[in-house]
Amino acid sequence: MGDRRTWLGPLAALAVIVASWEALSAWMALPLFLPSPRAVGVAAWGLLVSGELSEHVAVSLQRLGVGLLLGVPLGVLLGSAMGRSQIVDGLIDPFLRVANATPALALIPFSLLWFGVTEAARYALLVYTVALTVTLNARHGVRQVPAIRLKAASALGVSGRGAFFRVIIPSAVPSILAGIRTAIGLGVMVIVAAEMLGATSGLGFLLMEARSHFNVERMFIGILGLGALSLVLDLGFAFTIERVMPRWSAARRVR
Amino acid sequence: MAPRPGFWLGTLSVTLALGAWAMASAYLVDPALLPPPSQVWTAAARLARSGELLDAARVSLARVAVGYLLGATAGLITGLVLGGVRAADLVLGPAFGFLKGLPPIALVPLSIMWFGIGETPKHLIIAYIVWVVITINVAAGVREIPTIRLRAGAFLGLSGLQRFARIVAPSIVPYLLVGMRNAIGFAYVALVSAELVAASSGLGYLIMDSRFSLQTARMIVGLVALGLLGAVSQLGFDLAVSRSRLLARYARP
Repeated sequence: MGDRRTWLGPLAALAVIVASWEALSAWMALPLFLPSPRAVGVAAWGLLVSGELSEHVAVSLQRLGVGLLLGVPLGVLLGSAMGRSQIVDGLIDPFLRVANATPALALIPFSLLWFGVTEAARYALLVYTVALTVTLNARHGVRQVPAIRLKAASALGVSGRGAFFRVIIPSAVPSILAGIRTAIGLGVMVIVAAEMLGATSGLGFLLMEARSHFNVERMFIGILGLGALSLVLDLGFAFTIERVMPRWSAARRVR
Repeated sequence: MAPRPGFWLGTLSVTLALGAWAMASAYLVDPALLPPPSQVWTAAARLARSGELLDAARVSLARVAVGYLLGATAGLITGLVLGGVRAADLVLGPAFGFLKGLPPIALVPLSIMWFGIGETPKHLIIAYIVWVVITINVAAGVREIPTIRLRAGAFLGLSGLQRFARIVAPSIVPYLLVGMRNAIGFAYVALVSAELVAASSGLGYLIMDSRFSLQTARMIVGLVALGLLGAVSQLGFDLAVSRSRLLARYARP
């Protein structure tokens, strides 16, 4: 992080991108088609000052938070059960395969049909997406526990349920964390789509509202805001794990 | 081929689930919200006979194919540049980190304003996500080429072009294949995004349109068809890779 060059490159790129955007929009002179970065900045400032932007972001984040809070434990439970027991795996695996092949976004019309335009519809979608991703990763992690660790544990007198909590789950944590990281990315995708197709708040709603008013500035704010949010969440999660629980970091994993 | 032990358990649970579904729509919930399996089957047969299902699947598949080809070609080029030119990576690498997290559906409103409601915005949305995924993978592949291979090439007197053809290209194939495999799933996500928000044809539209007329059975048929199309595309890709003797050699990094 101390290396100045790692910051200078992207900063220069940002400056070049913004400058060419400005030049392009000035040359095209079609503000309804391609607004200048200044116009977008002014509009973003307006949204920020009025508190509208932070409200939409907060609503989207809160939905994502609920989805993670319910989906992660469910996924860990299902995934570790499937990883340990061939019977559970055999029973659930076909559904997992079908769910994995079906894009979650295609379920949005169903969630609207069954739950209406409600908070429950979005939560259901998010919990489903998060749980599915975490299940797959947890199962993989539990299956990959090195046999030698289990043998060592049993030689030391730890087996059965003790081994599950003291050997298997800790060994699977890096894989589960990787799953949560993927789930955060997918969750952003799903929540935005759900908000675009049936909601009255959130970043997705902001985008859809901008579309019906042909408000290009707001579309840009929505797009740039979403990209930034997703990047911050992803890097923030990775950074937190490195700092708070380096023991579980996949990057420093010792096999 | 004897089925694995899991096969029978799977058959059991799927049968039970179908039974529970039939019972639920018979006694528990409004069949308008959850039609019984038999009704879904009838709807599927009707959609198949009228040709609607095939038409919708064909439209969706064509969109994925065009967008995927555009995005994969662009991704291969930008990936090579990003991985090969240090300055480009330093400057533009973070931009791809940003783009990777940007859901394709967020671009749908803007792309409609820019490119209208024809096929172009759909192709471009699919191409966009495929481009980002493949760029990131190819760039990683170029960066991971063992230095010793490049040095050996230089030592043996290979020219720049020869080095590219005999060292760089074969070395990135595994990464390219992983990127191409992942991009299939993303392409379908982008397809659904575009078809749910703004389309008048395709499987996503079939689902959305049936929802407005409360034809739940047709919605389920559309969903299953979409899942099948995605699964078949991925399976076809895997099969093509494992069958091709040239590619199978490279399938693992």
